[in-house]
Amino acid sequence: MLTRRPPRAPGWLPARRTLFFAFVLLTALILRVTDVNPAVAQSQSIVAWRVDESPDLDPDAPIWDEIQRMSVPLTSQQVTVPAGGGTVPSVRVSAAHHDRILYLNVEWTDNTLNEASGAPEEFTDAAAIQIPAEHGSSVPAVCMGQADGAVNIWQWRADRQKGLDQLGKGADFVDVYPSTDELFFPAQSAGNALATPGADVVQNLVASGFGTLEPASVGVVAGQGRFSDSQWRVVFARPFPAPDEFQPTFEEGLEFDVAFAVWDGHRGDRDGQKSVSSFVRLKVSDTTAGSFTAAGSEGGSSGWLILLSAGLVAFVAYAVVVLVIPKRERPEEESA
Amino acid sequence: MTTNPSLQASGGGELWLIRAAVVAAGIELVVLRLVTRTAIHIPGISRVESPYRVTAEMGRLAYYVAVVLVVVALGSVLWRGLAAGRFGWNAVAIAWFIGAAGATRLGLTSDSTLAWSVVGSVLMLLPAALRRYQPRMLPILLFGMSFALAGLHAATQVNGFGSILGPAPTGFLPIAEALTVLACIASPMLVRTEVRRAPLLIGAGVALATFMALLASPATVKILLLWNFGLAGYFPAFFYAVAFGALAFTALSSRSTDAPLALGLALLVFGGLGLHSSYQSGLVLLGLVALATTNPTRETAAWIPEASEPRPEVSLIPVAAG
Repeated sequence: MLTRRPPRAPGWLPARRTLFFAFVLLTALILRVTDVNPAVAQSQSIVAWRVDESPDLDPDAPIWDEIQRMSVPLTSQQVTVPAGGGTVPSVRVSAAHHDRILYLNVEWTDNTLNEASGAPEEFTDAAAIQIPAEHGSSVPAVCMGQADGAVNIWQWRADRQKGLDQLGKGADFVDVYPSTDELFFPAQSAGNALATPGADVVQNLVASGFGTLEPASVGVVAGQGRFSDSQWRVVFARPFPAPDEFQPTFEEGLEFDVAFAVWDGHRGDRDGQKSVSSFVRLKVSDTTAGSFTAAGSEGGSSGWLILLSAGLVAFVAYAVVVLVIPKRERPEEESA
Repeated sequence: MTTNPSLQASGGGELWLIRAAVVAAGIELVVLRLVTRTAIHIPGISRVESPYRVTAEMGRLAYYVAVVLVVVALGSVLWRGLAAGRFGWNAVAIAWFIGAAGATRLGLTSDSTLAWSVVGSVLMLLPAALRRYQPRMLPILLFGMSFALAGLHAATQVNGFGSILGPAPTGFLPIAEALTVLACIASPMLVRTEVRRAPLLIGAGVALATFMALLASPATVKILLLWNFGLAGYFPAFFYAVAFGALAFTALSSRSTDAPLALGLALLVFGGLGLHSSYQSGLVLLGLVALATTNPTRETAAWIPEASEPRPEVSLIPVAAG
């Protein structure tokens, strides 16, 4: 029965180890004081490719099939009440720009279509994008920004789109209150964007921390959503130049931080109860997508199947060589 | 036990370096990633601002210490492999990763270079770890494939690489998470000692605590899982509870009899599936190196008969350093 500890393996003596740890600690202190981080982030990047043809606001425009979608994981919002959500596990995002207009296509799975919020327990599907107002500055808090770091939020709501569509088409006339006197429309009278006919489908908002969210004074963000096959696809579009200092200016070659939020009306999501992402990077590329997407558009994902299959075969072959060949046949161990 | 000539050439005895990296990364995980990120949301935290700032600073220092130790440990493996006249797959893997991380940090290459280096390095380091645990290598295989898939996800999501081959599949992460959970559940297969009561009870306690936490506040716990371990929480709470319990049991059972296994598993957990930075990828790669390292403590196990084999050398050089 072995109960004794093995003798200390040959290696560094305790004195040398102490010196080594002193060196490690000193190096760490220097790195900390100088704020030099040897590590580099491997966070995800969404690339907004330049495209020759405008995708407009069509979520099903052919160009979107040729651009890589990035899957961004979501989780529930737990910082402030009403907390919750997290029922949508991820959104798939692709981006493009044409004629100095940035387009973001946000897609997520939702088994139920909820585009009404007229009753007390009726909630709508919605999606939002958050971008820090200042490019290149330190990333503000993901929850509505902070005092020294404003954020610009674009929120699209299914009920708003439906309502506006129907107002435009004259549908659901029975639900329209006949009086036009503002006295009977207090929210509209107070300037509530949600109650204002003719307002934009996407709310353009700015915030500098909790409780500061308000409509942007200038600037319009366009948007269009489409629901089919249990998928919501929503396109947001905004020109590059910033309308004011609370909104970002996009330029080719620059990187931005961007976060996403999704509300599932069927699950009772509203206000702070939503599925949210952390910040990921958005790169506005100066490369034209068409220069390398032709093969992709023709090959679909078959190219991936070939690549992954080849990789799997290569790995299995390598593993067989390493694992199955008996040790005694391996030359380095024969010599041992 | 047959030893690799490169182990004898290495001089051995550096498992303490991995142990130090585990301690520093563990402190960083608890203090920086967990405490400071959650405490900031506690109402009234401003009243204890000074202790909070000191704690946060300790966490940051632990982070930098861990970064330095990971770089030194990986560099040590590479250096000793080269000194032994061997530049095999493992050396290629580590050199590739360190080179890619450094070049990306300096802005010399694109993000995808680093992401692909992680995929390649994991796959190149994996067989050595598999070979050590043969034939009970299923958990290691599952861990390796999950990290390779997580790396593949990152690699295909940056710089539009997928556009060359068509839109890349987006299901890598759920598959990777499923493999990770299965790997944790299967990890007791790696324990080569008889089942002891203490690890079993602690493992059961961890499983119960995880299950209760996920039931009591699923949203909060899932955020912590995502932040700290890169797990999005796709699956029912039961699986995560069993996975964490099994992993705790394995690590505790092997702590005194198979230190490289315990340290390797700890590094894989501390690195996390998210691979958010080159530091965390480095932890994962160092974990695979540890798993492939010869076991210096195995002969201390009571169940092993009186030593009839030569005492193994201790080295960071993996067994299959070819």
